[in-house]
Amino acid sequence: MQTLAALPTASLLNAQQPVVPPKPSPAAVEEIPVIEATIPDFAGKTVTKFFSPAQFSCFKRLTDVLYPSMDGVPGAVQAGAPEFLDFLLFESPAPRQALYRNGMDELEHRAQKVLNISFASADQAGAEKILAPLREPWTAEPDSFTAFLRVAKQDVIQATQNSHDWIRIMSKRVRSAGGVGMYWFPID
Amino acid sequence: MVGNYDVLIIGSGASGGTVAYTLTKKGISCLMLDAGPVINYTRDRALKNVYELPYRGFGRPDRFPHVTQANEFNGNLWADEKQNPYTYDPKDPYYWVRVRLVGGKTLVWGRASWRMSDYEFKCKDHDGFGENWPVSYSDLAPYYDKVEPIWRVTGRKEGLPQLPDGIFLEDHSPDSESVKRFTAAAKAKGIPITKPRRATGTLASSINLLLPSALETGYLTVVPNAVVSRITTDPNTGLVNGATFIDRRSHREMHAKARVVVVGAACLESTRLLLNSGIANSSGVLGHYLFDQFYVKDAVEAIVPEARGAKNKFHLMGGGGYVVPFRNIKSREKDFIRGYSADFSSGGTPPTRIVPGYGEQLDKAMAELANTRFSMTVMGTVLPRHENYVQIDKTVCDAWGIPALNIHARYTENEFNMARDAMNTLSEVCHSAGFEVLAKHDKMVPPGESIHELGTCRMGEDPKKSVLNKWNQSHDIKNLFVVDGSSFASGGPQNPTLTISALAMRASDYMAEQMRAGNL
Repeated sequence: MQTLAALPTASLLNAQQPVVPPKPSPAAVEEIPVIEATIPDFAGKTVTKFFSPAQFSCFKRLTDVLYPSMDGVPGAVQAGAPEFLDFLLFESPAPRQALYRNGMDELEHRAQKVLNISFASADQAGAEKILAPLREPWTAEPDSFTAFLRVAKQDVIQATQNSHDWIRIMSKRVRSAGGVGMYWFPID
Repeated sequence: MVGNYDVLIIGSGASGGTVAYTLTKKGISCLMLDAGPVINYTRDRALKNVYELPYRGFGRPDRFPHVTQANEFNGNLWADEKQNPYTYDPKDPYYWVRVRLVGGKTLVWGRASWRMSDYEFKCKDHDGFGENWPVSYSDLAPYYDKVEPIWRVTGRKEGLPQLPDGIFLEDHSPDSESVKRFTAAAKAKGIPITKPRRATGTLASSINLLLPSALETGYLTVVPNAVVSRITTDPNTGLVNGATFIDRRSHREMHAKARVVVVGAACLESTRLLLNSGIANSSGVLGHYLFDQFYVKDAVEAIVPEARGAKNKFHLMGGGGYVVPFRNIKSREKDFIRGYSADFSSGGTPPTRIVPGYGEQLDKAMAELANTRFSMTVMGTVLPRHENYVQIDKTVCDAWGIPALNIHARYTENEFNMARDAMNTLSEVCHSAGFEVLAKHDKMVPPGESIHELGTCRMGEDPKKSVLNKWNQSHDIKNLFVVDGSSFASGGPQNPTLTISALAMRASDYMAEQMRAGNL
C-alpha cells in the first residue's frame, strides 16, 4: 500500500493530465456501448452489523465447519458467506434473527459446557461433537437447536454456492453449476 | 374515444381469458380490465448470474413473507404484498399468492390439467357432506373437450371414472424402470397411476393461447393497469352497469360501462370486489366456504438404491407421474371423506436439507446420491366449510385506497387424517417398490400456499345457499357473472385451472345466447 508521502502532489498530477481529451473510439461513437461492471464484492468486504464480534467469530467457525474448502473449491469463508449472511440476517424479520441469535447462544453454551472453550476455537473433532444433531436422520419435528443448525446449514450452502468465487471455480468443472437464471426486471 | 362494450371482463387469466376468447368469436364486443401491466418477454427479462443479484438468490428478506414460490430471479412477477395487503388471525396464517399482470397466474402456473368428476360435482350424493354442484360432469364434459385442445393438454387415457379422460396430445412415452416399479407396487395396493396431464408449449398462458385469438377478432379491447375498485349498479333496475377503476400508476379514477359484467379476477379478488361493491349477497354466503387443496410438499423422499454411486443404468431413473385419487372411491375410509393425489418424480439428487451431515461428509453423500431421487408431493381435498371465510377489513386499504380482505381459514381433522394416510401409504408403496425412504412427513403447507384458493362465491341450485346459479350467473343480478375458482361449490385433489376454463366457456355460451335473446 502506498503511503501518503509517496503519492504525487496535486500539481504534479495536473501536469500529467492530457491537454486534449482523448477521442472516443469509433465504435463508441457509432453505437452506445455497454459498460462492463462488476459486483460490490470486488470492491471491499462486507461490514458486519448483526452478530457481536465474539458471536461472529463463532459463526464464522460454524460456516467453516459446515462448508470447508474442498479440493480447491472455495468454502464458506473463502466465499464470504459469513459476512454475507450477517448482512442478510441484519435485514431479516425478527423471527429469523431470533432463530440465529438463540441458536448461536446455544451453540456457544454447548461448546463451553462440552469443550470448555468457545466454539470459535473448537477444532474439527470438538466442533463435530457440538454439531452431532446434524448427522442424525432427518425428522419432521426437530428440537429448536437442531432446527437452527438445519437452517444454518442450508443458508451456508446457498450463500457459498451462489457466490462469485464458488461459481467461477465450479462452472469450469460441472456444467450444471453455472448459477444462471432468467431474471425478471421490475415490470412497469 | 370511449368505446361501447357489450361485456366488461375484469381479469385476464384462465377465466377472463376464456370468456374473451369465447365471446369475441361470437361477435360480442368486450372490454377487459386488468390490475397489472402487460408483460414483455423480450424487454422485461434477461439471463443473469445469481451472484450478480443483490441478495445472492435469497431475495430481499421479508419482501414476500407469504409467497414461497417467489425467488430473487422471478420476484418481480408476483404481487407486492405491501401494496396489496390482507389480514388474518396470526394463529391461522393464510398464504395469499397473487400475480398482477395481464395473463394472471397462467404466466406462472404448474400447468397440471385434470378433469373433475361426479365424485366432486355430486359429492353430497356420494358421502353426504356439503352441497352438490348445480352441474354434473356430463354438463361440463363438452367444455372440457373444447378447452383441452386450446391448452394443448398432454396425457394418457386410463378409463378411470374419478379422473375422466380427455382430448389429449397422447403421451406414449415409455416409463423409466423406477417409475415402472413404483407403478407396479401401487397397482398391487389398488392405487392407479397415470402420466402427468399438463398444458404444453414454451408458454401455456392466457396471453398466448387465449387473448391473441380474441384480439384478432377486433372485438376485444384490453386495458392494463386498471385496478377495479367497485362494480356499479343502476339504481332504477338494480342491474350492474359497469365498474369504477383506478389507473395503477396515476391513481386517476375512471368508470367503464357495459351491458354485462364478468368477474374473473382470481377467486378471492373477485369476492373482495363483490363485497366492496355491496352486491350479489342476498344469500349471506358470499365470502364463505373458502377452501383449496392442501399440499404436503415432498411428503415422501426416497432413493432408488440401485442408482447409488452413479451406477444407474440407462432408463432406471427419470420421468414422473400422478397418483390418481383412490380413497373413498370403492370403499369408505374410517378417518376421512374424499381423497388425495400425488405428483411424483424420478431422478435428480435429494435436497441437502434431508441428507444428514455437512462438510466433506455431505459432499461425499451427495455424490453417492446423485440421480437417485424419487420424491412426491401430496395434494388433498379440503372440505368447504362455512366457518372458513373472507370479509372486508375496513381498517386496512391497498395502495389504491381499496379496503383489503380479512381471511379466516384452517384445516380440520379430515385434512390432517388424510395427509397422515397419504404419507404412510405412499411410503409403503416406495418400500414395496424396493426404494429406500430417506424422509417422510405429513406437515401441510399453510392454507392458500397451493395457489388453488376456491369457493367464497359458490354456485348452487338454491339462491338462499349460494351466490351463483349453474351458469356462473348471480342469483341476484342477472347481468353479473363470476367465472373463476370462487364459483366452485366443492373441489377434489385435482388442480382447478382446466375446470375454471371449462366453466368460463360454458358460462360464455350461455351469456351469448341470453344476449342474443335480449334477456341481458
